[in-house]
Amino acid sequence: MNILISTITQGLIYAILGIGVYITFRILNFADMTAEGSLGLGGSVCAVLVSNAVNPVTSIILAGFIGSASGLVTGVLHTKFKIQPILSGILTMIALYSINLKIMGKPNISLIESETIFSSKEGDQLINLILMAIICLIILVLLILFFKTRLGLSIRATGDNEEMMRALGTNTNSKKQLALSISGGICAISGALLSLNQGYSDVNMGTGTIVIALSSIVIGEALTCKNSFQAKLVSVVFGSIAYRLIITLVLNLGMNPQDLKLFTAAVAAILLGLPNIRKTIKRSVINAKS
Amino acid sequence: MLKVENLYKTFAKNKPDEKNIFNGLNFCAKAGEFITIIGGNGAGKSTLMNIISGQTLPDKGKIYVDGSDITYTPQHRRAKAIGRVFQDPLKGTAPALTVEENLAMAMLKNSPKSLKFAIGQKISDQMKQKLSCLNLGLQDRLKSKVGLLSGGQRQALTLLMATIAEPKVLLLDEPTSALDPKSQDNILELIEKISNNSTMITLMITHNMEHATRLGTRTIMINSGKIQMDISGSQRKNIRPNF
Ligand SMILES: Nc1ncnc2c1ncn2[C@@H]1O[C@H](COP(=O)(O)OP(=O)(O)O)[C@@H](O)[C@H]1O
Ligand SMILES: [Mg+2]
Repeated sequence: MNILISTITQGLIYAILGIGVYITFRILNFADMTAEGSLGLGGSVCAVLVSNAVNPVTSIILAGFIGSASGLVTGVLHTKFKIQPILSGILTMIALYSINLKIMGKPNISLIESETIFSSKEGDQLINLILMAIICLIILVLLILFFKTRLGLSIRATGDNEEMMRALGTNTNSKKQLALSISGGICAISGALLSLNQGYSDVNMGTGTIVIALSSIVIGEALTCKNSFQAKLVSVVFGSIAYRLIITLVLNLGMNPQDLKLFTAAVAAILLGLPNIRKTIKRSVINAKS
Repeated sequence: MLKVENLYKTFAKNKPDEKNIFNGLNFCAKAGEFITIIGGNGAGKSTLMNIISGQTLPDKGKIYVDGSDITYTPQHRRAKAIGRVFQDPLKGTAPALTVEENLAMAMLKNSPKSLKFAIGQKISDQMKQKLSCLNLGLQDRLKSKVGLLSGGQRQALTLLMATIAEPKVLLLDEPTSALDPKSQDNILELIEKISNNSTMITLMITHNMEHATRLGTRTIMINSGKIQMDISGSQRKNIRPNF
């Protein structure tokens, strides 16, 4: 039971990362790798602050703001330096590794002694879960409202048809920068919560998380039949929880933790390819018939 | 007034595939004028529109709208004065957004992108009224994704979006050539309806001579980097282009 609750809690923490990545990958159509670095950045900043007895809530919010700066860097690399999206994100991600190490001053910081927002007592796991659910809900509501505003809608439209938005008099570069900043901030908040929840921050904690986020997004898309923007955003949360449950299950079934990243990548590849694989099969069936 | 002055443009200058497009092209359009543009493939008709809209910069020459020089104004800033419809009906609308979300972006073209809600009752009512003028029943499909609409419906929506904020210049680049005959007629009718009794300057590129002479009040032909022919009024009926 406790494993189930803590698994869902973790799912909710990674759901926030998934939402951040959703903003770039799906809304902006921007294959952004910054997320891994932003997650680590959020974790590092929050760990340093909390271990210096700063209020954990303040620390999370500060981590978010600093994280959004990392998204902005990627945005400037892309829009001003004209570097392609994937490379802009990788450059920021690589740079952040060193920066995160500098912020922490060492490869990892333990928060066992510090006060976090989570309780480490045995019986309090349900409270942690509810707390995370509330945080997720707040972020979702704020984002759904934001993307209904003129500014938010112009970001979505820029991601969907940039040329149209330019013809409609929109500075699409600034919209991209803003979206990347928001994404960076959200990924950093996820990193901050992750470090508080697991009781430490590690310079490698971001590595491979982009695949987790993408898996959450595609699982979420597979789980929902609704096509509306809100439904898709919310589906990321359920995708993330489902992903965590699958991982916990396979580990309990005896999978070697070292194989986890291979498993994750394989699952993500299959899920991302599924719609096309289906189409190919359908086409060959039709061809075979005719 | 739209004025194109002494325009020069060469693509891939000093390269083996150098492509000279304009050699001192000049022309001027008065408010309310509707000009159809003809010319052979690769004559530079689309390039002219790209230069007017700011997507392409000229090598030399100036573009003026109502007296102000916009030659080097960034595209998104001059777009306030310019509406545009492309040949490809998929280019002018955002498929993942709904009809009302697309229209909202067009109606808010000249408003700051603030934190106000994009869609409210008032704007919704305006949309329904404008959409019903299209006679395509789109006023009942405000919440439909635009990606689900047909090419003809999307092009009609694009035309509405390009003109709803009342631009000074409307650029139409073969707006009907990707459509079926019925949608073509519908779009041409809309273009006439919108441009009639308006002070907007309309430029329409077309390959269809019947369209070129039936619509508008003036026809120009681009050839070898210049305006080779410029006719107005009843003379247009006798055009025999040789491109
Ligand atoms: N961005 C560009 N770079 C290089 N060549 C271009 C570019 N845009 C157009 N051209 C070339 O310029 C010529 C004129 O193109 P265009 O203006 O599209 O002609 P059309 O009159 O058929 O619309 C074509 O030969 C085209 O290949
Ligand atoms: Mg053309």
